[in-house]
Amino acid sequence: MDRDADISETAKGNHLAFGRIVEAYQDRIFAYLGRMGLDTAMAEDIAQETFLRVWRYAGQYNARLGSLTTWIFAIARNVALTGLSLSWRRAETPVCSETLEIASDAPLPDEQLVTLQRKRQLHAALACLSASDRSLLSSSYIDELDMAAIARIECCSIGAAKVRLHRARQRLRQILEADK
Amino acid sequence: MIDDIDVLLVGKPLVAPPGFASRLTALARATPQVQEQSRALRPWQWVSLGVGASLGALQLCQFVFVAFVAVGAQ
Repeated sequence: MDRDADISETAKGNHLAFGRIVEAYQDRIFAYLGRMGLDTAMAEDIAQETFLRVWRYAGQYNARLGSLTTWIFAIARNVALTGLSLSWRRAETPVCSETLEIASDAPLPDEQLVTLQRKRQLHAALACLSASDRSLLSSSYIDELDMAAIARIECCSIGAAKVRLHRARQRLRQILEADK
Repeated sequence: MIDDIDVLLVGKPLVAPPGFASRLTALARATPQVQEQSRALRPWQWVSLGVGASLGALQLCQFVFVAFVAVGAQ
């Protein structure tokens, strides 16, 4: 399915085309927000605002400036950073381990317990990174985005994005090693 | 540990709740779109531009004429 055709139709007010875009990107956006350490409720709010902005500003999308994926993730990143800064000001906890829970009441085998503990440590460590570094780290796991696209989303040069990504991973590793 | 980070960040990702897309589509129906403003100049802008250019040209001619007369008088 040609997503560029869908965004053109969306710009003309076609709800069906917009629905197809949401279907195509929703899980990737939620996964991206989850990797940033957001809980389900906040991720849903941010994803909703992201797609509503896609709807409102569909006419301003320009394929010559980047792919639709890059444009949508850049919107998601900006909404997420704004949301995180607002929740920070309200002294809420932006990072939650809710997304890590294993959905089962049965006693957990040792291996699952270890995994769960590691995930909790990881999310606690993620909370120590800046929101933009978390976004960068999360973007790096999106298959469709190469480093040039990630740099465009993060509004920095490719070199700066690589350095920031390396440092973010290094810092995450240091925090996790210290927690051991 | 790098592998751990990758496995933990990629594993069991958040997914959209059921009905998310249809809810968004319904929301979009109630949300107006931002219309892209045309970048072409409107008629009054063309008129204003023409008047400005004419006045500028007139002033330039006046300056050249005065300079010519001043040089001639010397």
